[in-house]
Amino acid sequence: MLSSFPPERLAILELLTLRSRRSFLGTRQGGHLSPKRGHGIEFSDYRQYELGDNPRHIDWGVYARSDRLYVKRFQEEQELSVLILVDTSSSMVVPEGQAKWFRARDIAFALSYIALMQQDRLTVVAPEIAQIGPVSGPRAVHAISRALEAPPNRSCANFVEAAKLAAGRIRFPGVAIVISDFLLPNDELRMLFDVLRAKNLDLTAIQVVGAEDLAPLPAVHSGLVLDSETGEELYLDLSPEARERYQQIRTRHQILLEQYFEENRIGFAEQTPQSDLIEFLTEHLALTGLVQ
Amino acid sequence: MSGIAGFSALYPWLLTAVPIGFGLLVYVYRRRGTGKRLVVASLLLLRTLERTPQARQRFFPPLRFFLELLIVLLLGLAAAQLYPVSEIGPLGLVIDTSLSMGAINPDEGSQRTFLDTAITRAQAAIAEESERRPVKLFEAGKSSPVFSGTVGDLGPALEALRPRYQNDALEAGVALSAADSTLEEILVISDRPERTVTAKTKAKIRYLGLRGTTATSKNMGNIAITELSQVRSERSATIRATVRNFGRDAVTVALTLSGISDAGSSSRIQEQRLEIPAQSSASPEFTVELNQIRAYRVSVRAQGESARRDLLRNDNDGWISLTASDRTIGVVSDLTPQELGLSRLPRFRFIAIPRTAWAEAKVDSLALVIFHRWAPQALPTIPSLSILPPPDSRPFALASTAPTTSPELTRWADTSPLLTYVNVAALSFAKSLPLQSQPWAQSIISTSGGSVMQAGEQGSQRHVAMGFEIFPFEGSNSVGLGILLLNSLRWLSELTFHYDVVGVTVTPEAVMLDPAQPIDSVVVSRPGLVSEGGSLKAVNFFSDPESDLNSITPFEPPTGPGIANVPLDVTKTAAQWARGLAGAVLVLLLVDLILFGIRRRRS
Repeated sequence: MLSSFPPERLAILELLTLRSRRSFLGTRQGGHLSPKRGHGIEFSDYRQYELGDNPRHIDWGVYARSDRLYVKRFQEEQELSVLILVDTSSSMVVPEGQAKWFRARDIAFALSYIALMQQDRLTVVAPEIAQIGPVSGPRAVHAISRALEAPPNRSCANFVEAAKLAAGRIRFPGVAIVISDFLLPNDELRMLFDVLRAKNLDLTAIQVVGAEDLAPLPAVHSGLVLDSETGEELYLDLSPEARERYQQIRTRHQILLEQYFEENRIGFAEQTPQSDLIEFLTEHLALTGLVQ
Repeated sequence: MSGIAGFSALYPWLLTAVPIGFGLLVYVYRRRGTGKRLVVASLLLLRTLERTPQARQRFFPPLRFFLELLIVLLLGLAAAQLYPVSEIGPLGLVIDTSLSMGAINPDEGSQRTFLDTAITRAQAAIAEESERRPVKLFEAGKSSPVFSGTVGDLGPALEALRPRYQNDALEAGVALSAADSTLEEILVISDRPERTVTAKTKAKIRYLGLRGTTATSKNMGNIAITELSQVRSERSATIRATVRNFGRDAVTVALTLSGISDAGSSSRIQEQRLEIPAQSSASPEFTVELNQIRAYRVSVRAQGESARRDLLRNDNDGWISLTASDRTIGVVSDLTPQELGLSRLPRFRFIAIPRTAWAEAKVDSLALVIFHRWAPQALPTIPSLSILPPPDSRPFALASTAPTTSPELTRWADTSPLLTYVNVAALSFAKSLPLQSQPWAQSIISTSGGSVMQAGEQGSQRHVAMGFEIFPFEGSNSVGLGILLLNSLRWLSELTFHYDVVGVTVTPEAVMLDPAQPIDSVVVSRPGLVSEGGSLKAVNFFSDPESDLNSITPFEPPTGPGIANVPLDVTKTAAQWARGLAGAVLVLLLVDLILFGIRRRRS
């Protein structure tokens, strides 16, 4: 088990449930309301008895009042398909002391744990690190824990491409959670979420923001800077004026990002590695409706 | 020494490090901040902050650049061993040009001789000097400088130096130059090692020994002809060449005898191959017919692998020529030549030499000398006829003072040219005394009391001794005795092989034949053949001390007031300056560390 999840933290996670903002058809019985009518505890409506219906479902009270045979219909509770996509691109591990990756990993594990505890069908995709699922049941927790333990290599594949590939394998719609720093060009970001939206998924985007994303290279005035993902080199001016300009650019980028998520009914939450994980799960994610 | 005239460096080529260091420093400063790449997660948002580095637009060196440039400059000067050049007087340059300097220097790894190395070192030494500094160039062994001018004009004179056929006279040469009080400093260059000097003060005489590790390893092989002599018989002559191997390894050599005509053309006559053990001599002989050829050259060449064991090639040749002796005969007697009746012999000219003047007499120009009833203490260096020597004389002592009778011919007497037309039996001696037998002589006429006439050769010179009176004033005036005297004089003055040594004087018209070069002086300065007045004169230079390259004595600098302890020490001064410059660099580095290191930490 990951060292960042001691038993007491797991106990808290067991109290949480993963929710979808829409109901999805499942394949097995589970804890989520399904559009399918059938056996369940949530009453849906009546219909006239037909030959072959189970006499146990006949509402004898209605029959006594109306002398007609009606059977009760219930909303069936089925499992939920959960897809967790974790960004493993170089920007998640650079710079090394920033722990963006570890926070993204912890969020992914915590959500996986919740999903598995409620018997949901879970798929975890962390490009070049983990491709697990669909799995269900608490026993799969260990496999996910082991897979996410090692930090990703800096030279890992393109996250967007990997996410598109994972979306292509989805058979049943459900919840999809994308955990990334979203340091992506706008068109790529849109492409990623458009592909997921096309699969009729209930999407939630969790942005992990590092300290250097907010204020890059604090001790540097100027210098040759290398992009960890593309290898591109630029000589940058990091004077106070330039930093101020950077903050403006970043704010605009963030606004555009959130605007896009809102327009497309994609849940969005922002998280920094320094903040408390449980608080994030119970408060921030609860606001998006993903966790209850 | 009145002050500093300028600066020079012991290793000036190291000053090229300064511009290189300057270029490197500029490069480093221009690249500063660009060498280390700062990795960021993504340039997506940072891209708008891009700018062209100021260092690439134009180079604005900061203060620290000049500080570090100063450090580079000081380090360069320290490495080049900067030293102040004082206003000093003329420089004396004494270069050893003795024969051994013509040997190949094994430390150079090529065919360069010690003299070539000496010239290179001298050029390097004067390169540090101002071109206007007066300089005198001395060759060891020459009494006057071969060049006197400024350092700038010295080059051709240095290039013209050649090894000379002369023995080492370095100490004398240095002493001669040291006697020149105008010289401020004397640099001596030779192949001899320097005796270790314990004194720490710098002498006026700076010595530069050329022998490196290999050359001082006592394995300097050399083959040389050390002597040429003749062994005469009746109708032919034998030339004996002594060849010595001075090396520590046996060598195989080819010894060639060439005949040289009057015109100087050479033709090979005989060749012998022989192996000479280490540090040994061999004396092969060449027998030649006495025909038209009047001069010979003997050459020794090491063969095959041995060739590299012959480091000095200038001592591999020897010349010898047949010379017709002068007809002047010296007579050492109490009587004059006229009294002895010698004036009646028209072919010869006789001069009287008193006994007391014999020791100082110059006999080189005489064909032979007649000792009458007197003998010197040693055999003369010219042919001699000794008549009735005294009993106690050394070379021709009588065996007995008792007169003998009945002379008879010895075995050799049948063919002896001394007895041609002489009937020994008919000779009547008033008195004959037997001679002590000599190792160099054979008996010609014997009596019952012993040998009364002996003849032979010693050191290529013929000598005849008689134990009876031959002159007509005493005893019977026999015709036979007159013929015997004439035979003796002719035999003693026959053609002989002869050579002179380097330094012999010739007429201004003389021509050097082999190798054919004009003689620029009346003194022959190198071995070869000289054609002088229709006769050939062989000139040789044989010197074991010069040919033996392993036997070298350390140079002993002359001492005396004004020579030692001159307070001029370039090496020491350069070292002091280097230390000072290095100290300055250390201080600047500390300043650099304190000023900029702390500033960086604060930032």
